[in-house]
Formats: sequence, C-alpha cells, structure tokens
Amino acid sequence: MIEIKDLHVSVEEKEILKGINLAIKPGELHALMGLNGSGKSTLSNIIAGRDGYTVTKGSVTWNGQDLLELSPEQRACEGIFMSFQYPVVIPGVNNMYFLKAALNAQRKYNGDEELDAMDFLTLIKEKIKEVKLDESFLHRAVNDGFSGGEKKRNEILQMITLEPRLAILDETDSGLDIDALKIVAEGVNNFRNADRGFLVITHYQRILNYMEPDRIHIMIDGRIVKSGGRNLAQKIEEQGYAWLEEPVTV
Amino acid sequence: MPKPTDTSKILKHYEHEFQRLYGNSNGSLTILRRTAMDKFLTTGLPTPKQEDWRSTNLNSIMQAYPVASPKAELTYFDDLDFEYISNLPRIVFVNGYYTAELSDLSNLPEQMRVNSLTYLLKTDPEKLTRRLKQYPSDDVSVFTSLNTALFNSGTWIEIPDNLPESFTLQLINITKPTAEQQSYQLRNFIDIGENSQFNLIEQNIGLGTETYFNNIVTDLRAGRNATIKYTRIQNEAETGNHISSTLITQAADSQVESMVVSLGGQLIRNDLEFKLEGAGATGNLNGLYLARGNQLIDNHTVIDHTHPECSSNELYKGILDDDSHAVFNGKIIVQPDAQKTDARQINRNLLLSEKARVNTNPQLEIYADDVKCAHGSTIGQLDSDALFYLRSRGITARVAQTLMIEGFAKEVLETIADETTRALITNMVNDWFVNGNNGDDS
Ligand SMILES: Nc1ncnc2c1ncn2[C@@H]1O[C@H](COP(=O)(O)OP(=O)(O)OP(=O)(O)O)[C@@H](O)[C@H]1O
Ligand SMILES: [Mg+2]
Repeated sequence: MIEIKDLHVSVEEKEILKGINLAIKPGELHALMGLNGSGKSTLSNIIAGRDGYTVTKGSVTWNGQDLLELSPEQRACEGIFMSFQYPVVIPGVNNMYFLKAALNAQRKYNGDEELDAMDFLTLIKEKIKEVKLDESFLHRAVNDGFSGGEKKRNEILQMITLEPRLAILDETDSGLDIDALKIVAEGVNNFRNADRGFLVITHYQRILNYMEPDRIHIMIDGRIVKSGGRNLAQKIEEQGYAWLEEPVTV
Repeated sequence: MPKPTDTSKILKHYEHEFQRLYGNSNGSLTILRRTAMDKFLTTGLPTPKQEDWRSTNLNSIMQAYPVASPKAELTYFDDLDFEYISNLPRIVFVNGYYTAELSDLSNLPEQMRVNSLTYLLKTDPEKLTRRLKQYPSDDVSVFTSLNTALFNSGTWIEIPDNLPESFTLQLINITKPTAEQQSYQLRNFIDIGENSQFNLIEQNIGLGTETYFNNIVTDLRAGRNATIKYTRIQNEAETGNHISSTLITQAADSQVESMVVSLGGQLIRNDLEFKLEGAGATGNLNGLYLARGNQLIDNHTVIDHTHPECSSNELYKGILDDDSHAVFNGKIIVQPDAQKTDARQINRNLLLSEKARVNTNPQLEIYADDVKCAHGSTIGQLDSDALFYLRSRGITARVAQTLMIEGFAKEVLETIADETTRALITNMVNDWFVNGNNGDDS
C-alpha cells in the first residue's frame, strides 16, 4: 500500500531522515518507536504532505503512484490520515462544520455523493459515541479549549469519520489517562480491517498491548535501526534504547 | 486616484457652496451654520502632520465636491439593488432624498418621531437650531463643522421615555450619484428616552461608478437606563468616500452597543466617540473591517469615561487583502472622577497579502486611580499549521483559507445578539469573501 524507499529528508540544510525504508501492506499495523527528536513526526509529516521539508533522496509510493507529487488534500482524499501529535486549534471554525466539509470534500473527490446536513448529523452522532466525547464538542471551534486528551479523541473521531486506508497515529496515546487510552485503542481496533494499514508512533508499550502490532520499528537519529516483533517493545520498555545506539544496519 | 489639489481652493469651494445654498437666508440656523463654516475655514482640512490624521491618506476627497441637494432623482424602478430586513420598519434615502416608495414606517410606536431633515429644515428649522445649540458637537472633527455648515439631509429620530418594548428601525442611505463627484452632507439626530430600548440598523450603500463623498454626522443621545443597539453597515461603492463622525452620549445606567461593519468604499474614515456621562453606563464598541484593492479603512474611536462605575468593552477586527490599508486608533480616557471604571479594548488584524498594512494604536489617558484597564492589539497572518491541518483532512487550500478567515471574523459577528441582523451582516461578509475569491486554487 505504502512503500518508503531510502528516504532522505532535510530541513534547512540539516538532514533529519537518513535513509528510511518501510513498507506497510493492507491489514497491517506497524508501530514506530524511538527517542525524542529521532524523526518520527518528520516521517509522518512527509507522508501527510506538510511543506517545509526537502526530500533529497529516495521515494514514497502509494499504491504504485508517487505520493510526494500530491497536495496534502489529495493525499487525504486518496485515503491517508495523520492523527497529529499536537492537534491544531482553529479559532472560529465549528468542529462539526469542519468534519462535514472534510468528509464531503473527500466524497466529492472520490465521486461519491455528498452528505446533506441531516445525514451527516446522524452519522456524526453515532461516531462521537465511539470516542465517548460529548456532543457539545461538535459545536465548539476545532480543538479550541479542548484538553489534551479531548484533542486526541477528536483526532480519532476524525479518523473513524473519514475512514482512511492508511492511518498514522503520531503519539495519539501520549498524555491520555487509562480510560482515554482504552477508548483510543478500542477505536483503532474496531476500525482495523483487512484493507487498512496503520502506523502507530508511540513511546510506550502500553498502547501496543491493546493493539497487537504486526511489526515494531525503532528509529534513532533518522534511521530505522531495528525492526522486529512484539517483544521488541517489551525490551525497549525494560532496557531503553542504549543497547541500540550503535546503528547496525542502513 | 484624483490628484491632490491646493487645499485653499477646496476651502474656497465649500465657502462658495455655502453662499450658493444659504447666502440669501438669515435665520438663526444660518447664523449657526455661518459660525461652523468659519470654524471649518480657520481650522482647514486635516494634514498628515495632525496626530489624528497621520496615517490617513485623504487625497481622494481633497477635491472640490459640489454639494448635492436632495431631490427625487431616482426611484424604486431605477434598479437599486440592496438588502434589508423585509419585516422591519425602514426609512430609505436615495442620494439624501427621503423615498417613500422604498420606506415602510407604518408600524411606528406612538409618540415616536421619525422625520427626514429635509422636511424639518422646511417646516421647523428652529427645532434643529435648538438641538444644535443645546448639544454642540463641533469638537468631534473638522468634518463635523463642514457638515453643520452645509447639511441638507438626514434623519431625526425621537424615541419617547418608557417604551414598553424594544423597537427596531432600519435607516438606509443609498448613494447612486447622477452626476460626477457629488458630496452628500447628511446629519442624524437620534434621541432615545429614559428606560426605552431601541435597535437601529443603519446601512450606507453605494451603487454605480461615479466618485462621491459622503460626509455623515450622527449625534445619538441615550437617556437614563436606555438600552440601544446601533449597527452600522458601510457598503459604499468602490468609488465612494465616506467620512463619518458619530458622537454617542450616554446618561446614567444606559447601555449602548455599537457595531460598525465596513466593507466597501475607496476611503472610509469613522470617528466614533462615546461619552459616558452618568454613573453605571456601559458602552460596547464592536467593529469589523474588510478591505482589499487599494481601500483605506480608518476607525478612530474615543471612549470618554467621565463618571464612576462605567464600563466599556471594545472589539475591532480587520481583514486586509491586496494593497489595502487600515488604521485603528482607540483612545480610552478615564477622567479623575471616573473611579471604578472597567475598560477593555482589543484590536486584531489579519493580513492576507504581503502588501496589506495596518496601523494600530491604543491610546490610554487615565487620570483616576481605581480603574481596570486592559488593551491589546495584534497583526498576524493565517496560521500555516492550521491551514495544513484543514488540508490534511481533504479540504482544499482555498476553502481552508476561507474557513479560517470566516473563523477570524466570527468572534465579532457573534457579538450581534439579534439573529436577523447577524444573518444580514453575515451574508454581506460572505459575499465579500466570495467576490475576492477569484484567485487561483493553490
Ligand atoms: N521545521 C523544522 N525546523 C528545524 N528543525 C526541525 C523541524 N522539524 C523537525 N526538526 C528537527 O528534526 C528532528 C526530528 O524531529 P521530529 O519531530 O521528527 O522528532 P520525533 O521523533 O517526532 O520526536 P518526539 O518523540 O519528541 O516527538 C528534531 O531534532 C527537530 O528539532
Ligand atoms: Mg514527534
């Protein structure tokens, strides 16, 4: 589904990603762990299409086409979703209006009929129950005055409403209390199916206990230095990253 | 833009206009007008050296504009395209001429008076003289002096004391000049009695392609414990110039909320002064200005706290595109006797282009010690993180920008309590966005 090959990315002359190789197939859930500043969010941003980065080498292909050619909105319409590590406040823009505009933009792009206000309301009322947010959050400005955990649940609400084919969750578990963590994990689990891929970025094994990843990757200084099964997360939790500091492979 | 002229020629021109219009009369109003004209001539037109006019380019009105006399030039069949709230009373002027066919004054409360000044000037000029003598307001601006000398049109509104329920009136001034370079000197007197509630929705709408100059002076007085909402929409033609001087005087415990929306015109300059002249009065000032092309929109507000325990709350927001220029000058005066004053002021500006610019200037003059005073101003661009956030959900860049710009304006629009009024203004604001969105989809 998505294939990243030898990806090198710089910001203002400084190389941040130094040759990333990663492929996610439909149905797979990959976890990405690693030290602060190792480049995890940079990788997500590159996939989602944020500007300000220069790809100096390598490629990202999406079902065979060059993903880096597409605008952020095209990527979203093609089925890529990123849950932001730091969701953005958008003053004065109503959350429900935003969700409807987003869903309808995607439906239009994909040749589906746009939902009218009534149908959308029915849909969103169902979805918001799944993330256990009160309906009043629909009537507030996007993320405006939301607590950290509420923002993350709002990200998950967007994910299950927009139904992407690849969901990148950038530290969606950070700052969540145990109940919220379960809500988020359940949201993701209910949403998993044979056609969807996930890239879950996290610092903690805890969320992976709920999610059963197919593969875990460890990123250090712009490189994936180790990939493995679930027990890798366990080892990181117990021993930290020090034993990996020496990059073994490129 | 017209070339600047020698200002002495302009002064001579207006003196000439004075002679043409009132040279043969010698009533008490004319004497008063003469004094105002002399004041105008000695003060002269503003120059950039004057603090209050420093950032305001007045070139487009530095011309000899003949003063139009109100007459029936156009009527309802002349394709006058304007929006209004159809089920509310309205008084409509076209080029300063009261146009009965477009107006609807059938449901006015008893004792309430609404007159056109043209009518009062003919039938009862003494009434106007008395009013002008009782409340001289010539210190607002030199354009007020010019207006006092020359006004020949406008509205007289008188609301009695103790009106049992809130009443809304629309005042609609349409300008569609039938000759080049006309000036319209309009005056409004609005007196609201004690304990009464009154909503005034004023629209200044410009149509056509001729250059013109509206010089409008409004004198509103709020009686004790009166509640007033004064909404003002300036949607002048691209070739329109609009100078307004408004003085709002509040008695004790009165509440006045003004909302000034400016979105048209070549040059808009609003001088708005609130005088809180009785204890416990509240003055709220809201404003939204939208400019593009090479428009200049200048809002100068003054809030004069003279009595104790008054509060004022001011929120002005501006959105500026292309080469446009905005000025916001917000002065708050707290006089020595005005203890326990609570005054707040916020001005926020959103620049949509590299060339748009804004001068924002809070001025606090505080002579009392027990006061709460807060002010802030910002100038910013669209937040690129927010833009990316919206786009990353599938919304195109153009729609995302529009959403954010509307979101920025919303805070001010939400201060309009009345839903119908809010809808009217929101429609106009949305039209403004749509009209400007002819650019490419990047
Ligand atoms: N726009 C930018 N300008 C300058 N440096 C940047 C920029 N974006 C990222 N970086 C740098 O790139 C490095 C990687 O940042 P990134 O946010 O990808 O790390 P991360 O792995 O997500 O870290 P964390 O676990 O703390 O979220 C950091 O050193 C960061 O400071
Ligand atoms: Mg990160």
